[in-house]
Amino acid sequence: MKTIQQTLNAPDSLLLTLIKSLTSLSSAKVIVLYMMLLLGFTLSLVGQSEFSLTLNDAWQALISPDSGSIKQQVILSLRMPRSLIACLIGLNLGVAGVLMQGLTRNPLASPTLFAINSGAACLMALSSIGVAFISAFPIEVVTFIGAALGGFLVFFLGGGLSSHHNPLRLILAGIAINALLTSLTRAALIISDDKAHTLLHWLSGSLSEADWQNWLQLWPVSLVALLIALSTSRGLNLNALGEQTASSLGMNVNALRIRVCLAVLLLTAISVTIAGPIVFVGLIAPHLARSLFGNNHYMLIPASGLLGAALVCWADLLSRFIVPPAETPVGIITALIGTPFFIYLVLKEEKQ
Amino acid sequence: MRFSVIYKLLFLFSFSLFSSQSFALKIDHDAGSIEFDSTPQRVVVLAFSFVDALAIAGVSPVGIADDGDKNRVIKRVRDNIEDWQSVGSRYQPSLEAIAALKPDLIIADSGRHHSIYQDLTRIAPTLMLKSRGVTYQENLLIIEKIALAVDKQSRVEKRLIEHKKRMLDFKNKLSNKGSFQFAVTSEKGMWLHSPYSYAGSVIEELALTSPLPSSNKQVYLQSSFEQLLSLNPDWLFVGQYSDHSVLDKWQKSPLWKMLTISKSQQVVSVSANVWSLASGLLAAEQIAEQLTQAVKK
Amino acid sequence: MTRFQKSLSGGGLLLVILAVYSLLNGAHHLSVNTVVSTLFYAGDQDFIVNHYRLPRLFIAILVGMGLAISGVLTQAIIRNPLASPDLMGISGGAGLAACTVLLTQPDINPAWLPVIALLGGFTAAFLIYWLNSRHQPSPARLALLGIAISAFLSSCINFLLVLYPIEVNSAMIWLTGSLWGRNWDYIWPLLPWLLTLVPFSYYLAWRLDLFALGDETASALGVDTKRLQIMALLSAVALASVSVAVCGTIGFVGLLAPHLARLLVGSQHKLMLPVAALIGALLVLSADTLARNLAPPLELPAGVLTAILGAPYFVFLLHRYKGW
Repeated sequence: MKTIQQTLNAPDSLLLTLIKSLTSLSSAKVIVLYMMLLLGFTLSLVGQSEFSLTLNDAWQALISPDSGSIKQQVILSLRMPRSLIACLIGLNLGVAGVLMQGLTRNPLASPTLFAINSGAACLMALSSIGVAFISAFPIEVVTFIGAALGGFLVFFLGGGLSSHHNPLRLILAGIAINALLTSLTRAALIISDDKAHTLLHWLSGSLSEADWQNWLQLWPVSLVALLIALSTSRGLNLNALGEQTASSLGMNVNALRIRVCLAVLLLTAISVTIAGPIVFVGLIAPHLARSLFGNNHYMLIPASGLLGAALVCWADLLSRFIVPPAETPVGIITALIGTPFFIYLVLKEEKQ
Repeated sequence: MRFSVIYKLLFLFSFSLFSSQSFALKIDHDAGSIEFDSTPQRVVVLAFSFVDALAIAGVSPVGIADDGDKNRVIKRVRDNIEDWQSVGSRYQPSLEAIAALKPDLIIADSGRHHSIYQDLTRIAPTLMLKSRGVTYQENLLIIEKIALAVDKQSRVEKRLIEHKKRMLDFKNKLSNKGSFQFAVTSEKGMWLHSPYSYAGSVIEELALTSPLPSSNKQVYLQSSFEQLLSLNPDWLFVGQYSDHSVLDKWQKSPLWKMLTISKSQQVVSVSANVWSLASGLLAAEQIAEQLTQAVKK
Repeated sequence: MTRFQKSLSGGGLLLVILAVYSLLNGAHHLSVNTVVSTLFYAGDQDFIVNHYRLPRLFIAILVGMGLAISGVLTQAIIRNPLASPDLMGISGGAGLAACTVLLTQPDINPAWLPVIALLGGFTAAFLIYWLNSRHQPSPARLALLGIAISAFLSSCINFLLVLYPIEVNSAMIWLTGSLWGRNWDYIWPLLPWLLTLVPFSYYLAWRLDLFALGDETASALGVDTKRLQIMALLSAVALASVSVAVCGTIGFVGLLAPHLARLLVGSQHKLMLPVAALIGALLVLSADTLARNLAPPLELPAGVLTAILGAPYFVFLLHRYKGW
């Protein structure tokens, strides 16, 4: 009842939504979360380097940058964008996961299932072996198109637009499209021969080439998409009550669907374009957020974003320590952490 | 190193056999041995480094697993052999295409093709030798073995002596010029070829130092900009797999100026086909030439 | 003619046509006369016909049958139309085990691969079975578990490949599934398994029909459900793992063939099993024939083609199915 009250009284203007979201995150749990994120961020600025960076270097680089010092330059022009991008991508994926789960009312929906990752990977691999018209575009455009294509295919073929859509059908369509795209990607890898290992690194999700230019591509798109995402909070809260209840309370379900899909697509496509497929974050973060902060989307969306950011940040840090000096793609780390958690989740959900 | 000793022994062994029996020649290879009654005339090869060896021996293969693209065989090798038929890709060469050519000798890569060795021997006597991941020293022994199989030892011996002289020449010109590194780049990263790779072992042969730590055992090493900064090689030779690469991005960074290679234009763009794919003797000479040319400038 | 007879004879005819086509065509086209005389008297084209196309033809049929029957059994036991060896991670487990060995011990005798693949497959299968028997998740959940486990296994493989960059291509070929270079030697590890397990699964057929009615009904009708589950699961895993060991992880066959068979002849296992096996054989054979003939002399991995053939069809099935 409380949720319904909250939802009905909720303000609809974007500015107020934003304020409400930000102020709702002020409990002790949130502070711990921020601390985790901050700690991960700071450590990833200086962790595992050939230059033995210290926290002091990072501090100096921030307050009085010295362009002659190689350590400070490494922090400012390599580590800083990488850590920022890790956080923002984590944020994007966390938010995208919440939106998907909220819309489909399926707690197991995630960007991976929607073939967004494998779509991007597939087109990227095809373009790098020189498949005619694809390789003419810049790589960022290609991956973006791939992500969008994969997502749309699953959504349409899975009956996402039909009035009584079935989660099972969506999952099946996801499985089929994913398998198809993955095998095409593998074929491309086989044909690419001596380039294969260079491709594979990106295909596993890697932040090692993230730089300021990527940051400039990432943040505007993310900002727009995150604002759209926040604006759907009220709709998602209503949607949680069931489609019929929602529409009887005056909500336009189709408009909500379109907004959510747009936001999810932008968030995940831009992330996968820059870092490759980082799997399971969009699945884990929302669940953790839900168990910590409940089901109110005003709270859930930002919280899941923060959790996602912390997760990717720490995974990226960890990825540098596994087989130094080589880096392990961060997507592999998230998958290794994510799977046991996911299995636990599926079984727990089932019991309830 | 362990392998090269074995190869040497095998080579000596096969040589001694050859001198005692002049007609039935027996050659040992990675998956067994073959006996020759006559000199093979129609040779099919399934890896690029063997094409290089045949070009030296003056034998034109009738079929090459060239991935359907004749330009993957480097120009210096192409100029020395006649036209050939493609037998498919190196990863899955078409056995029917090979059989249709009716070869009397097949030279296959023991790394890639060991699973089809039985089939290949049904088509023709097959030499299994190392090509994928071969190093310069290992390859020299393999060249001699191929020469023996196609009965061109004297010609190849002569060429090898000439080759060693050339390499020595290059070595003298290149001495004390700092550390040298070869890498391939794509849009998504840079991979350093260590002394365990072919290009790396040629660089090592020319007594040039590698900036990589000696503890490294990997063949290819993914390198971020930060790692490149810390290795800071004096010369960087880059084979590009795509028109745009991470290098373009890195060159715009303020950190680029802190690299030795930025100061004196010591980044040299080279062909990945020659440096990474070909892994033969002619390729090694081309590598050495390009190294010397770059340093002379 | 009943639907069963029609499907069986139609499929059989198609299989014969495909088989003849695949014997005649490839990187090197042969005439009917040449092929027939080579089959009986060997001769010039002995290798191409008798040692290359013919064993591949048989292996494609056997592997297709194995994967399809394995799919039927898994779906029956888990009572889940989405279960299939490749989606449940059984193929993935076999793949990871074999890949680990291929990458870390490249000199290993290939004869060990089936054994290792079998071990990997069994491990993954028992994990799934254990989760399923303890918690009995709904079909959709179980499918998701399968995806998660497959994703986990392929991440492990990716990690291995990052450590061993030089082997990426061979591992990829293996993971995608290919019949390239498979000769008579590969039939011997396959044949005994299939010869025993195919009749055995047919023997299980009517029990599986009863099992589909639910645990209680089945036990009341005299079926030892626990034993049946274990026997069928063991056969399914063995069939899938042996197929994977011979050709790598060829996807979609285990999922698609049973569905298609059910569409044609209904869900009675006695009728469905042979039809599914036939469809599996057709699928793998057509994929392999295409793989050799699309761009000769280049060979493509057959697994890519089963996916290209299978995925659209599967989506079509989804679209037609009205039981949501």
